[in-house]
Amino acid sequence: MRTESGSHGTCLSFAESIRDNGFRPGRSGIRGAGVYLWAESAEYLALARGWYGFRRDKGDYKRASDKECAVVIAKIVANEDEFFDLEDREVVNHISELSKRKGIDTKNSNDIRKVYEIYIRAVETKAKKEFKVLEGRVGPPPAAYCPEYPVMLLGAPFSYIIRDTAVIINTELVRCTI
Amino acid sequence: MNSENTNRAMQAAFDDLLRMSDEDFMSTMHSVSDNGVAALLETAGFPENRVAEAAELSASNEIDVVSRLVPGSDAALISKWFDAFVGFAQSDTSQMAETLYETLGTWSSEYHVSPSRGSFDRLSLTDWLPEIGDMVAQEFSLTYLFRSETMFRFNDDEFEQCLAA
Repeated sequence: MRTESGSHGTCLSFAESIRDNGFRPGRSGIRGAGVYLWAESAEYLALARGWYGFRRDKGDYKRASDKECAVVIAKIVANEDEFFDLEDREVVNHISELSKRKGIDTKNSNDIRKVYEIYIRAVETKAKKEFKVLEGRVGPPPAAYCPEYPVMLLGAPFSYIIRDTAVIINTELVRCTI
Repeated sequence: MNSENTNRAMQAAFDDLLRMSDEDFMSTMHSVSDNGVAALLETAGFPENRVAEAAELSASNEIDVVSRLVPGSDAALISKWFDAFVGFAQSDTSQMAETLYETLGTWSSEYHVSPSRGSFDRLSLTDWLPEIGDMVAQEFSLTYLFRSETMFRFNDDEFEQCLAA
């Protein structure tokens, strides 16, 4: 078994809902549907706070009763073969080639998401198993919201995309100040 | 690194996808769920290019013009949209429908829109939650629709035509 940890930034009201009711996978992430977590690292709290700030300024927490920043730390456990590595060179090459050959609009995030989903589903069919966690790099919040993350030095941060929330065995809520 | 077994599956999957005709591939692409806005527009009969545009705008979430929608908006038009949304929500028994109902409840309460169909009775407006969940707020948000300029890019005839469909 493999155990990992990740962070998810949101407002306190939503974080409390996650803590009490669990995560609900989103549908529109760039790498496909799932719960997006920043993989544990020296910067993963800063990334979560940055994401919160970015979404707050977009107005996503307008209706929340408590709009303060919170970070949900999620612990995940899954078999090694239930992870799918999106940074595998072959995966990158396949996605690239597929997009070129099929004329995918690589500036359209919805089409990008669909290519990933189609490819991963096809791999699952061939492998006769389901991948519960995707791991790969996802763009950080804009630098103004997360100056602590040295994107020039490290590239996009690593994330876990949880496709089956049953792998999340524990969540801890951390209140933050921004 | 993925395992050797997974690598073999990746190669086989890649080969299969490449062998697909462009038509079949696009059909497969189309079968993947759109995000909320795109799915709604599609269901409401909007042209494909508009659906794609909405999906892009929604996913990038770069446009926030919610204040432009409500003031001065035509109540009848909103009501039609509302019906379309309810119809869409009824067509899906998954979590998405649940989310739609929650969002519609919030929206109708806030903007005092009365749905013209009894279908909305399934909602208890007094029970709607101001916090409609992380999924709605962050990933799959109908509110994007009302923040998006997409609605305003349709010319009147096109808009009416789709709503009438």
